[in-house]
Amino acid sequence: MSRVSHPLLDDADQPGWWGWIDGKTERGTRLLNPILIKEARQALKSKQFGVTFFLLLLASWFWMVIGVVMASPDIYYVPSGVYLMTGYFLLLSVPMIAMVPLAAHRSLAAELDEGTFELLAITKLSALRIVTGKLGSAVLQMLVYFAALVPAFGFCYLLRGIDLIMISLTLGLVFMASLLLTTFGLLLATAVQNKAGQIFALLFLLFCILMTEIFCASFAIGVVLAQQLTWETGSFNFLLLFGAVAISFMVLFVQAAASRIAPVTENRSTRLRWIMFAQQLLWVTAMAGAALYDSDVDILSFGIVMLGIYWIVMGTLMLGESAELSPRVLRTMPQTTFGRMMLLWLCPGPGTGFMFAILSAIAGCATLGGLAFVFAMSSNYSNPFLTSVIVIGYLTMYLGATRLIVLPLSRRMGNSFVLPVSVMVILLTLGVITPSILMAITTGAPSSQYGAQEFTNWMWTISETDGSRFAFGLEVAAFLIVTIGGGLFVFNLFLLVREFSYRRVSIPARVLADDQERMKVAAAGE
Amino acid sequence: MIATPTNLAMIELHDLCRLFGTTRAVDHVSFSVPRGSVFGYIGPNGAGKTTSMRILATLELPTSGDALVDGLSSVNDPDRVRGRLGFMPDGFGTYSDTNCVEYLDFFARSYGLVGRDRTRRLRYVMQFTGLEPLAMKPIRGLSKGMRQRLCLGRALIHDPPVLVLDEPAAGLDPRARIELRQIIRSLAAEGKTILISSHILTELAEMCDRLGIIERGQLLATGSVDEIRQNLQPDRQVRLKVASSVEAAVELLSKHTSVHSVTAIDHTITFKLEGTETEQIAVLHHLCDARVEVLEYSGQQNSLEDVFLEITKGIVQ
Repeated sequence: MSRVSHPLLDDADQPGWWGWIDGKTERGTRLLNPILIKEARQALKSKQFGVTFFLLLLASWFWMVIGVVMASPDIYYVPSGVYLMTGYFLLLSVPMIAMVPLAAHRSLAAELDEGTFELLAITKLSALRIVTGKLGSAVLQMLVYFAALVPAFGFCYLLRGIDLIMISLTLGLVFMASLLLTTFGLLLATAVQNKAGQIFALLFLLFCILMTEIFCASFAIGVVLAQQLTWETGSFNFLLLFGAVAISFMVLFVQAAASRIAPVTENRSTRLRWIMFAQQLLWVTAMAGAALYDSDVDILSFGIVMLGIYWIVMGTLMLGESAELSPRVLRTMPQTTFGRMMLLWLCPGPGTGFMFAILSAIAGCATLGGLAFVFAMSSNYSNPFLTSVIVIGYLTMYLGATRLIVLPLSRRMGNSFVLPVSVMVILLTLGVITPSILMAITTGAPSSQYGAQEFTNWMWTISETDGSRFAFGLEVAAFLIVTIGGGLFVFNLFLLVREFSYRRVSIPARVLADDQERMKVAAAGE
Repeated sequence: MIATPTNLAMIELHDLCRLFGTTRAVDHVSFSVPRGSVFGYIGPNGAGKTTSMRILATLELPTSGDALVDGLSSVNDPDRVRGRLGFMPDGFGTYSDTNCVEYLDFFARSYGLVGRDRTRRLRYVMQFTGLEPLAMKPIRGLSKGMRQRLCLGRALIHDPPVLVLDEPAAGLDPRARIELRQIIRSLAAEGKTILISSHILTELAEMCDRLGIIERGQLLATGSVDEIRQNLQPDRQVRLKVASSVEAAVELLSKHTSVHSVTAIDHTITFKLEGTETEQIAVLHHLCDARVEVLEYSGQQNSLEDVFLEITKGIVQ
């Protein structure tokens, strides 16, 4: 049988100039993620991508003609770049913010749904490479869509009224929004594996896309293209912080998606915790910097409350982790007593997760609260020190109570993030409504004035830290919150003994032998 | 291919258990497969074959016990196991807008094959599985048999020493089955260790060196086809046709210590005999010595299907 000719079946490094180029590009593709190569091949053949691309091209030409006609005859002497750019922004945002994240979400969900993921899982590709491959493919599509409109942006620039910074900012906004939604879409694809859940996830993603589209459109048209951004108002600093936070969440979403699809024998937590740690560092630095720069103590209170919300969400999700670790993960954990003391809270497990959330929140809130205390920053509208004490108290109280409830339940129902999240939502709701119900039962009507009995009502208590409405019962409530929270924290500490106990795990002899074989093979190759 | 010590069993299951709620999908299953041999895994639907194969392929975790490939645990060192194992699942998804060669190229890249190693391996697999003429054909347009070949090609692309094939012959026409059997035999001749499950029992008997029969998660029997027959059915069914004196022959046989269940219909007598072919010859001598006029004398061995039906009870979990 004669051999079938196909570029993929032929060796690179054929003689001649083209063979040399072929060899070099072949070496280049070794650096690329195989998923990216596969997805690019699929995308270039897919009708959806082709149709979207040509529709975008057609629409951009159509808008060029319509825009020029509508702006005529002013276009000859009035700068009209902003006017046309608004249309191009709206055109570009449809494939970028809607199509690309949806395609990435469906691509990963289909892998899990149609059984191809299992074939990938047994290759040498790690879960993180699979997710980043999907992300890379999405970025490639974004770049192709950008490329379709590059001449149009050049045309806008030539029409004057818009400078390169404004064009870059507009495109950067679309790119960041698309990237953030894509990473979130990838995470949503891994979050639920059943049909009903997938439909719900898809609907939620569509809702997020719609919201982002509206937000981006109003920001780009109302602020960026309206040239409201100036260096003097600090709006660029805000954009910088917004961008940094968005990037940190993209990294978090990608790693979380990879952790969701990684086998349970892998360490799925440590990287996530480092990312959370970095996010907290970024947030605390930004809030402290902004508060000191503007001498505005209210920023510190805002930063503390946001930290509280962040850690209650992350802490609850970490309570869903499995305490059972494979010997393989145990082998990678710190083996010395000092190492375990310093690094164990970054290792997987619900107990270490609880400790990590609480200690990180204490560090972050204490830094921001302490800053106000040290620099004697004060305001009539907020008290960062009291806010930080109350936020830490609530965190230990609600996370501690959730952990105590989840611990026996997870033994029966298995480990899943659904259980702690459900318990936390119920507890937070009960915390808000219970005092009012009790007051209504005892006095016939819920109290309209804050009192110490409202200490479980986190919503009311935190709003009472607003200095202008300082309530008498707040100090008593704060004392109760911190005492109960502290008690639950200590109680939880006793339950952490198993996760903290010292376990040295040796490397199996066959694994060591395998390492030696690999080293021999590598040495022979060199 | 990664070099492996030859003294190890390439596949080992140690007291493997997998619970799904209260259902014991795999219940303390242990067996080993030596290097270069083909092990057939037989059992009714829901017996636990696929679950134990998925554990071996690092796709599932056991509740207890361990599954080793080349001495490495698929539970604790799955990344090392994956390089040594090619898995062909019962059902597998494919990618849209992808042809055969692109599909195999993607998996070759995913297994870390680069440059000439990849193209050489791609050419070999395309040729070995007979997919060369279909290289450019979209996967969605392939027949069931060709899809199975493609899946086998994917499992072979990184040249693993161990292959785990879950129902590879399911849904294939007779010609495709024969071709698949030839492929598997030639892989075994290359030194690959193969664990294969199937419902086509006769085919397994022809291509496997050893068999394991599993039902309700429990391994009921292991060994070669003859060993299983011998161990589970020590009695041989013997058919005797005599010219006359049927009663005398029946009486003589009934007195024989290794003979039981003697029945006679006209001139044909059937009985069960405990022991080997030597025993069977001894009984014939005994009959001839007693002047019984023997017209026909033949031992009947149960087919693999009969043995399978005898051992299993057809209970589905």
